[in-house]
Amino acid sequence: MHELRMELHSTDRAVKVDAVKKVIASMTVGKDVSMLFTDVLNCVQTGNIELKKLVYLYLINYSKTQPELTLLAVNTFVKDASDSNPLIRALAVRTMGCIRVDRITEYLCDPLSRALRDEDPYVRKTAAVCVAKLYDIAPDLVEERGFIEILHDLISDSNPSVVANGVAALSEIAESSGKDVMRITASVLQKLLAALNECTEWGQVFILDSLAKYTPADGREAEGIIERVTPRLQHANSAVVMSAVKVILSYMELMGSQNSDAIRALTRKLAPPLVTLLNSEPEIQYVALRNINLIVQKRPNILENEIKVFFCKYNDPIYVKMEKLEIIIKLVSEKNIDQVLLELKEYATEVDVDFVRKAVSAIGRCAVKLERAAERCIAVLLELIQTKVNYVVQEAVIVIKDVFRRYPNRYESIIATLCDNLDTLDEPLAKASMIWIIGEYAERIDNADELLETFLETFEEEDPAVQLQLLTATVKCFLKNPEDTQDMVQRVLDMATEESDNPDLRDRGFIYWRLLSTDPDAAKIVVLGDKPVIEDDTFKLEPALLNILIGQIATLSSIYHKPPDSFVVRRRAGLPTEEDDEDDEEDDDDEYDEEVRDSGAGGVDLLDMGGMSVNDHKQFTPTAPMTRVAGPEKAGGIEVFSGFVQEGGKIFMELEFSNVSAGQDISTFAIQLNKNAFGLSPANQQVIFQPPISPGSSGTTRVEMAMNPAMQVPTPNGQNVNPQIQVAIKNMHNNGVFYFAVNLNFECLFSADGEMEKTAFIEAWKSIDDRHELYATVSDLPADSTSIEDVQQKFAAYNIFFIARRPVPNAEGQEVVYFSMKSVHGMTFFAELTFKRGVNAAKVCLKTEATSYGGLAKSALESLLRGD
Amino acid sequence: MIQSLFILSPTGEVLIERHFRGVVTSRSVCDTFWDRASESINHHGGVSAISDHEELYDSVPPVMEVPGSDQGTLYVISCLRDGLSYLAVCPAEVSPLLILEFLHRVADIFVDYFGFPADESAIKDNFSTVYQLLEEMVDYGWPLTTEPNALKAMIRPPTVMSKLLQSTTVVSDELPSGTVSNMPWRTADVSYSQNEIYVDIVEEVDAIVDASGAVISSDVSGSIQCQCQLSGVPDLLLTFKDPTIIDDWSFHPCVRYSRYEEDSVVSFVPPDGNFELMSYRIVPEKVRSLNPPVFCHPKWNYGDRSTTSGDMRTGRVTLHAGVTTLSSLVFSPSHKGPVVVEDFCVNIPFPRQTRSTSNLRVDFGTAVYNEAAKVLRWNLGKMDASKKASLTCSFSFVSPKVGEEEALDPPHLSLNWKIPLASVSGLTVSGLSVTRESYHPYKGVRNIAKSGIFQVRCS
Repeated sequence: MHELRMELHSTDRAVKVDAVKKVIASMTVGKDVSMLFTDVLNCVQTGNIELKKLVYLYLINYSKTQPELTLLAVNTFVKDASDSNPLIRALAVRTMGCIRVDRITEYLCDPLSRALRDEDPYVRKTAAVCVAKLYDIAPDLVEERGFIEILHDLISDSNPSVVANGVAALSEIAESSGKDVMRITASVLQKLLAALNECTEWGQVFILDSLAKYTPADGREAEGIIERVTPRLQHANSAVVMSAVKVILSYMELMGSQNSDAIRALTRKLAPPLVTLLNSEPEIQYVALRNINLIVQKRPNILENEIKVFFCKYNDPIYVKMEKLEIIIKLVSEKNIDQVLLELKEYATEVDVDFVRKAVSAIGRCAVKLERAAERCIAVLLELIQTKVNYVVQEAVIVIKDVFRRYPNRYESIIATLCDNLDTLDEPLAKASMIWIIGEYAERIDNADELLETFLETFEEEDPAVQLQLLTATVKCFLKNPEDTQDMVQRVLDMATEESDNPDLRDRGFIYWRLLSTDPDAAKIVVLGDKPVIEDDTFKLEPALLNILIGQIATLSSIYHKPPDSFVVRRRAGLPTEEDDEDDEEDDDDEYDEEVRDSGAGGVDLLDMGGMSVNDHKQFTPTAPMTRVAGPEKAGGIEVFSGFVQEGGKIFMELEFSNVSAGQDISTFAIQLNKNAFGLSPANQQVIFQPPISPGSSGTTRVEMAMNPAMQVPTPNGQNVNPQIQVAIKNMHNNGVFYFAVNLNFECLFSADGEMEKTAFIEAWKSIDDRHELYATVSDLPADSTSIEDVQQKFAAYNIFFIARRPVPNAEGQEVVYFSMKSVHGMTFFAELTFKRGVNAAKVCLKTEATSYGGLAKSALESLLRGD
Repeated sequence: MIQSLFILSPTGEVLIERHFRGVVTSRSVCDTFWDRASESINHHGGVSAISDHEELYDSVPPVMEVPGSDQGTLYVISCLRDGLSYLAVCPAEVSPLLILEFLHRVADIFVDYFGFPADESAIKDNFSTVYQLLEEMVDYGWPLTTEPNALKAMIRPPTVMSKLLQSTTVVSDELPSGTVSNMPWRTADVSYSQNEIYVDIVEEVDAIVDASGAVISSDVSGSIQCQCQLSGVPDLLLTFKDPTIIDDWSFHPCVRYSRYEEDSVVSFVPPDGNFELMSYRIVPEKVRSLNPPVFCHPKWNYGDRSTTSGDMRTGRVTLHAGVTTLSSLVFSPSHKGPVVVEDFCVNIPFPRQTRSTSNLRVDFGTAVYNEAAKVLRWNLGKMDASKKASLTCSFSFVSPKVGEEEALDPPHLSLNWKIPLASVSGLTVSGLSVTRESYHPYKGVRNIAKSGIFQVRCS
């Protein structure tokens, strides 16, 4: 180390450079070389760029851990920022932006504002990025110093690279702040279009992405911009191409129908670049295919003649093959079906099981989609069934069921072939599908009852889905042929209603039983009634969502096919609890304020609890940790978030519904809970959202929960309680019912009377066998969980009561804190938390007589500590 | 934008780690990624080894959500190059294509600096250059300087000489002239004693052909590769004899697009060194009538199917391959004599159940069986239409269960070949002129037709 220090002070530049390199080498492998800080810093007084860069690299690395030392370098930065060499000026500004020390940022402002107006474009371009860096650290400062206005000026810069970086910086600030700082006016628009032709490929992406957010005033303006953007389709960089496609597709909407010729010409221009993307690296192909999936739904005619380019090559990666298959199904038509069927048949002989299954299923989807080709599709499926490859047969059976539903009473001739393969079926879904077919066509299958009989032998071991199907099929069979199946139906009903503990099965069993015993005719109408014919729209996106996604082409949303705010913007707000959209504007640092404000007025009286002063800056109100429990595909176009919270001594289930694609305003629902380990049930079954949730927006409501011992499923001693609560929601607008399960966050059940006397606590603590202790260590605590006072305050808001704290003897800096809590059921829990000063981790030890609930209480404490 | 960049070795070890936005992404993200990746290593039982560069894994989606870290959901965008996994970690909405293009560009630059392949050892030998390059290529997670020429002006590539002298890199004090000019791809002070430019028109034929030789689908992608050693700042003009036969072109940023739109001529100031000037596809009519210049007819025989499952069985494969005289290729005027196919090679993957091969016989070329990958590589080398080649080989394999006979169907053969002085499109250069500079360079233009992904199905 001493040697290094000597070398750093050497007068020979080469020796110095070498020494700094050695320092950096040790730094990158994790050695602590911070003691050389001043020595390294001294080296910065040089005109040599290489040495300067190395020193700066060192500074950035230590700025986080040694902020005081970094301040020593401020003068150097300020001096370098007015060096005569533009490269040094740019380097100084760039490096200062990377040092995230508050006091450095103060000094950064002046050099930065000079750099933004520097005569050299390289410096201006670097400074533009630096504004975005600064905004991340100190947004107020950026606004105060008017940097955003200067960025706007940069959009009119003479150098296209500066324009591009200005746009990039503004877009990022707009996204992270939620403010509309990137306004595009008519003059800005012209500047952007001019810069588009000349800046780097990356700059072109930034400019195109910001153009996509602009809404042209009318069709003529849209057409004008499209004309300027179209040459970008010929760029070698796929990101430029896709962003250009996005602009063109979004603007095409505005061109109106009187412009159908122009639209047709554009459509022709879009196909070749999209096809070309499929010659790129597989990763790029994948992203391109996900986007093409959207494009063919929106404008099927663009690629209608190009289906062949989506045929799979044998060594395409599996993720590319799966996406290609999706698009083949979307593009299949009566013109190309024969060719497609040959392809799909070929795929069905490949090695990869998932791909083969998808290919088989695709054949069925073609049948559902193209009525005239259905027969040919079924012929191919039958051919595949003959191969007797286990998973091929199962997948074929599943999809044939759909074909039957689409074309009732048309292809029953193949049932015999299906029945030959009963033994092959071992997957629940395939079995259930087969049983459905048997029940539905019982009158045409000579030995339907015998076939069902074979399945019934193993009734108890079957998957619930199979059991339900068996029950229904048997009843259908009975209604069609009462004489021979009387015994069988009786046996099934017995098994379903008496021996099963699955509530769905029991309910359905009872309903059938009652129907059959009271009114067989009604039973016929219900059970054998006409079913709605299915259409091939199951895999299509809702038009409203599709339109949103078209505007998001070339982004992450377009890959996940989810609207942008459903995942990315929410995340940026930094709140793990999925709160209202208005929070998105807040910066990450303001979490506490938000939590307080969001929980609304009223509720828990904090001041009386925990016996401590809460007049200082922090105040806690319990919030429900919301998790996504159902997506729009399951819940009839609604995305559901749910969580539990206690307020004013009452327990609420909080529900947030996002109307993704329900197709209308939604407001009224009914709710029902399955029996659960806590005996929770809704106090009122009606759920009302006021105001109603219009498509594209979301709303929150809470349902009061009552404790009902009859609803409690007892948990055997020694087993851990299942925190899951199964919920059924009925949408009163269309009578659709959907189900989801949500895990109860146990802290919402702690009651306000859980406080204990110190002595009583000690006695209780001692009386519990140490074997029942539960341990956990929570590391990486957020800042508000490292001080005991803060934890105490936060816990108090959740009815977790402070008992005592004491330092651990012989362990400096360690302290233990004791808490007690009591659930609304009367179970008590005792906790000991150990903290060590300077370490952001805590040990949790929990004792309770109610051992089955102990794990839940422990994890509740953990998640409160972690703040999620 | 990019929060962190990781480069993982073929065994999942973190070789390079760089954070751009003040946040240090936990390495657990890499672990999550690698867990997913290792699940699918040899996913196809080694079959994927038939491609030229051996792939490690092929079923990890290039965009992956990694939930549950302390920073909320992160998005990992990745690509695989020369056995290395390049991972970009992004915390928020981003253009995934931009990130992917950028990752590939980083890998390209590494190849440019350290030679092909830029693999684990190349990275390990050049740690400091790698870090310096990343420093120049990224600022705050945004792509910064990615033009090879501009980078080379700032960071000189390691040379044999500099390696000997132990001083690995030299950083220039001057701002490279290209960084903010309107021609970022070219530096001004290029000088050669011998000025020359070579233009290769390469057309790659992708095709899927069935066992009888009928074309199921085909696509031809062309590109114009230049090797340019010209002094000063020359302005070049490339004209084609019949530009209407190509379609859907995309250009290097140096090409003046409007000139091509108006006059179908390629006008540009070239970068220095090797680069791809443009790529194109061929008008569909030409592709539709495509007749491949080579053929390969496979015949698989699996022996007696009545053997009980689990027993060893013997099968046999017979291949006939050769060059057809009826191909639809267009030959350059300088091409003389019969059609000669070069580097002709057939890759034959065997069924998964294969245990051993025997009685391998060829009457032309050489054949080697790769035991681990279960692939037979038949090297035919140079061939013309006068010769016919055949191969036979027996193999013993474990008989599959009844009903899974289909699983025996072998994967597709892949063919590699190359024909100099030929093209599918018939695209010919009619002129290449240099202006703005006074010298007269040596100019070489040639056509090459070769296989892209060219597969023959066996069923």
